[in-house]
Amino acid sequence: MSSQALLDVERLSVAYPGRDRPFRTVDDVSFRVAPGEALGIVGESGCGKSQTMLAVLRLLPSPVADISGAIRFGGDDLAGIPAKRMRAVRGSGIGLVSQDALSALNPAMTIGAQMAEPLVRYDGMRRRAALERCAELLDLVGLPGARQRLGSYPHELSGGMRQRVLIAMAISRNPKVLIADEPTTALDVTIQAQVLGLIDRLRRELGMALILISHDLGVVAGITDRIAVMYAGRIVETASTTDLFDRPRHPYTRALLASMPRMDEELRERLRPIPGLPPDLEQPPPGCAYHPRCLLARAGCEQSMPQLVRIGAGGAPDHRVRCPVVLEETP
Amino acid sequence: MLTFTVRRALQMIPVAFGVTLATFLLGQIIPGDQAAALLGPSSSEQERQALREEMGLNEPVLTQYVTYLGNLFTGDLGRSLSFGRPVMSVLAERIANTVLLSGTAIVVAALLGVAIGTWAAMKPGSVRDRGLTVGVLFFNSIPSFWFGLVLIMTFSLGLRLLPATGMTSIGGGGVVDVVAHMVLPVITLAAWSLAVIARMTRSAVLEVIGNDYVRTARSRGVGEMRVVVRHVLPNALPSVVTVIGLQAGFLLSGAVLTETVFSWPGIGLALYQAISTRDIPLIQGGILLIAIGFVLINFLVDTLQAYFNPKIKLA
Ligand SMILES: Nc1ncnc2c1ncn2[C@@H]1O[C@H](COP(=O)(O)OP(=O)(O)O)[C@@H](O)[C@H]1O
Ligand code: SF4
Ligand SMILES: [Mg+2]
Repeated sequence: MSSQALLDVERLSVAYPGRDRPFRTVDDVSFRVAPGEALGIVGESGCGKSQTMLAVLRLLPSPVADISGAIRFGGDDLAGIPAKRMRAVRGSGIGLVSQDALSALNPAMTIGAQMAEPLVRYDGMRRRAALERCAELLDLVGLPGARQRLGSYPHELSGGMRQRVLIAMAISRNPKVLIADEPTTALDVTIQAQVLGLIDRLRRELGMALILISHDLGVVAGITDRIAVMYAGRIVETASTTDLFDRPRHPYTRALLASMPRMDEELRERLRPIPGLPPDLEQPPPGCAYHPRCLLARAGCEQSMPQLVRIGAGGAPDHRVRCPVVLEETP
Repeated sequence: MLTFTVRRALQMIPVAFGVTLATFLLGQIIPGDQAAALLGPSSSEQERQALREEMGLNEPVLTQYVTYLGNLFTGDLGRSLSFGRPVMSVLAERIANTVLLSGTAIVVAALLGVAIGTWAAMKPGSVRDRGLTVGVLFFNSIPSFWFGLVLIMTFSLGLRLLPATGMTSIGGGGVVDVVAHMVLPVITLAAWSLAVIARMTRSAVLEVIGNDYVRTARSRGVGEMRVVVRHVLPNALPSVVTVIGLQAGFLLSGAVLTETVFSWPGIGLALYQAISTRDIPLIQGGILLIAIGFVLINFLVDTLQAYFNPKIKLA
């Protein structure tokens, strides 16, 4: 693992005013991504994955959302730079693929027009050259009949095709980091695999770092180097992908793994969803937010919020977990 | 797009017939004897009867309607009693004035309304946004003729900056003179619609600006001004266009009051005079013209609407 981080997010929090008192959708989240590295962020829907990424890109509704922490990228702290410099980072430094490809494309503009827009406006390309590049990009993401698609409107494409267009748009300005926020959630299973394969291929070919967000551990398993598991706005465990799958420590991570569908018949029998619901972030439970659902919970768990601590000094690189109970186990 | 436009244009035909039927029936319903009104109080019953016969007023209603339609097609709207001239010629010399006044007013209301509404929506909850809400409430609660009178008292009688009545000064003319005469009536006429359009634009922009594709544009580095102009407005305008269309029609009827307050020589003022003198043919003609204006505006709005919607545009 390269020690030089490309994107270094430290103690990021996002707070909203809330009805009675402020609450956090992202709480003390830190992670780093090295050039070319792939990080997965996993957690149930509503745990703050998208909020984290939108905070990094400063796309949250301001001034309602109050962001604190450091977001270091390319020698800058994105949290503090002027809006104009931030705009230059978006698209050309960090690209975003959002989750619903239908609503993420402008229905009133042709694919070509929306793809080419920043290339012409900000990268000094001639319109024709920009469209040429867009056609190449659509080719690269495997869109059939790429050139003709430039004149199509989003509603004329299928879900899978739209997601490919969105990916092509996100990489059109050569970002160093690509954030893919649940890029396959809205797609059929077979198309899902294709789109994931595409993202993995593009990352390797273009040498981008990748942050892949999903509620499904299975989605990030094959193509990430590291994984961070989020629960109720916090990272509860982070480890290399192999380590996390081989030696999951946090009870929530284990529950996520147990709920993963597998091909193995024997395991399928044991497959079970996590009982209970994720907490309402406006009124999180006291102490460890997972305690109402945790099988290992004990008396102290609802009293104080555990810290994210490093474990397994011998061997595994940087494996951290936010649960004192499992730390006492002998691995 | 072309088939849509043609289909929509054809739909105007039955509506236009409906409108002629309505104005025709209006003539039937309004009490009063046209022959007596034309011939004056000293005419004998015999003379009146002869005129009724000549005008076809004794025919069955259906025959009268067919005759009325036939006359319409040849541009004959009857004779105005108060002007002593064909209704067509009275309206013809005034229509341009009304179109000038209401056209300017709707353009001003639309441009300013969209600009102000967008500007406020870009910072919801800000001082300017709250200012808009108050302004809208104000302009939508004052009656337009009262507002016109206040403007006249302030800018014409008080400050003596602008003329209050007519379209040109005596012995005047020229573009500058006409523009000076237009300022107050245009403001009066536009104020209400401007407020409505600004409010609609604000809510339409607020609705669109939260969409994922707006975030997509921002996430690719597109600047805020361009995001609004290129991504938000084209998607917000269809609902605004509908309101502008409604306001244009509304404004056309509002012109009657405004033209009267400012003695602006348009259809509205003629209609006002016609109503006060029971000049039925002129009332019918004026209303018919305004109604046809409504129909045309609606057609225009629907066509524009389709233009903004790629799903129809392609068809
Ligand atoms: N503008 C907002 N104001 C208040 N709460 C919000 C806002 N946007 C999102 N949230 C809350 O933040 C939480 C996390 O959302 P999100 O990051 O989208 O979850 P996910 O992990 O599924 O991507 C959700 O509970 C959501 O209700
Ligand atoms: S701290 Fe307690 S409740 Fe939280 S995960 Fe660990 S055991 Fe479960
Ligand atoms: Mg999400």
